[in-house]
Amino acid sequence: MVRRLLNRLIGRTDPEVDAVNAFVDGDASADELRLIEEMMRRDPALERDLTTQMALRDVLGRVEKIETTRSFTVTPEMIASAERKDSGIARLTELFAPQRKLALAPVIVAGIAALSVALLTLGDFTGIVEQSGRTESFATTVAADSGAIESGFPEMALVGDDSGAPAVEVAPDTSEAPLTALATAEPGVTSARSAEAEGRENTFALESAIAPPAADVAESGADASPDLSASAAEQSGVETLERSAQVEPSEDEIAAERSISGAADAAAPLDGSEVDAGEDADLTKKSIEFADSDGLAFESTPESDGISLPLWQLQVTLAALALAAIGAWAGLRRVRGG
Amino acid sequence: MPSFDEQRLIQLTRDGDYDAFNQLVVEYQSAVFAVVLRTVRNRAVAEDITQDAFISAFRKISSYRGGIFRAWLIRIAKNASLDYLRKVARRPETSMDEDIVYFSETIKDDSQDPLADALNAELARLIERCLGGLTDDHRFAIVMIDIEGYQYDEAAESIGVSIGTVKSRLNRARAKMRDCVQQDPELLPASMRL
Repeated sequence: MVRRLLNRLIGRTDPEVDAVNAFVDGDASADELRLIEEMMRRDPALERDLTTQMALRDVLGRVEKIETTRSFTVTPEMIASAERKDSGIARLTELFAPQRKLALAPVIVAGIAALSVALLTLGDFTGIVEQSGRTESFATTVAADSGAIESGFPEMALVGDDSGAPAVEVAPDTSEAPLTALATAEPGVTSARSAEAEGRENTFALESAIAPPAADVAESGADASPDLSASAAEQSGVETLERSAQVEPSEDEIAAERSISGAADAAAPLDGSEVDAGEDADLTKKSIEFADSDGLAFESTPESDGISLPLWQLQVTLAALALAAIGAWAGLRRVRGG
Repeated sequence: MPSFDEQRLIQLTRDGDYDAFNQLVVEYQSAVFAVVLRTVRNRAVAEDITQDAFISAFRKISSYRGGIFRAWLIRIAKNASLDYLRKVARRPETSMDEDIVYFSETIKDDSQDPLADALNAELARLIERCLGGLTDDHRFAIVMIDIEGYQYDEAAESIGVSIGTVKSRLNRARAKMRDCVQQDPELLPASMRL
């Protein structure tokens, strides 16, 4: 057995097989005859088997030879027709022909894609997966947090920039003191100004890096301030506050307006150059919008343990893939004439 | 060896000479058709496959790298035959069982004895059935060597395997055929009966 296996591995025929074939063919050499005699001594039934095989070979040799009844010569028209058939699409259909291993590949791809869409949808319904990039607005968070503040859990940390530094912090102690929101662009950026609206309840004070260094602002003057504040806001990742004014009830509207005022103050130059406060507020809003448009997301307290995926994008892509695979499969069948 | 200048005809075919190729076709068409017919067992289908095989051979002549030309042709035809059988196996609605006259083997007999003729016809049917029970690989080996009378090297080249593989397959095919035909011992020649 081992010898046969080794012979097969090295592509060599078993000497016993060679000897048996040669004996049945009637052209065994002396060595092969000796081997056959030795095999017959080991297995007395072999002689009868070999005799039967020799008789069978004689019978097979007497089977009538087949002759053609027609000519198979080729013509240029036949070749041209075959070449037309052998176009790119024909080769593609041949690749996916029923007898090929790839025949079911489009169906399998479509099936897997459809199953994935179904699983993602199911996961979405059950909360196992959730849409990534689904951000909560600052306003929502603040609104939720005002409840939290009232209930004694005022702490909130909102992260808004790539550095991971806190972008907005809500001071815990708000029962008496004003609610202070601190906005910092990134560690190490000099705070230009601390704008605190004293005497107001629940006022946000933005200590922000959106204001450039005072000297630069002073040099550039009032006209330069909006641009600078805009670019600083882009860097900082300050979340939009204006949404709160649109969404939240009156208390939050007030808070938002105050915050915007604070931001406007923060964006103002420090050298006392005259900048219209309303204009600054608008510009700050604009800068905040820039920040928002950059996709800077704030994370609030997680509400779900689900896997975050670009869900609808995946669903649409997989559904398109499934449809494309089914379409390709049907098209290939049609072209092939299946 | 062929009695004509095969290599010259092949070279002319490479240059696009249809007449040269058709001389090769005439020379080898019976051999090719026989292998195809014994594989698919349907004369009309075998004719189509053989024709397609020669068309394919003309178009692929540049890929012929020497060796036995007849074996190269038979290999093309054999692959086309196997493709057809796989296609039929996957699509049973086009089964060979519908309105098709099977090819039947016959056995040469010069005895002029009606009884012997009848026995030979039965024996031919038995052999046909036993051949049909073999795997494609084993059937090709026994058809090429024992029925068509090819040498081992040409059979190996036609099938696309080594000579050793052909010998092994032939050995097993003969053993299976022996077991099969002995199920009807009364049809066998006296030397084959147990």
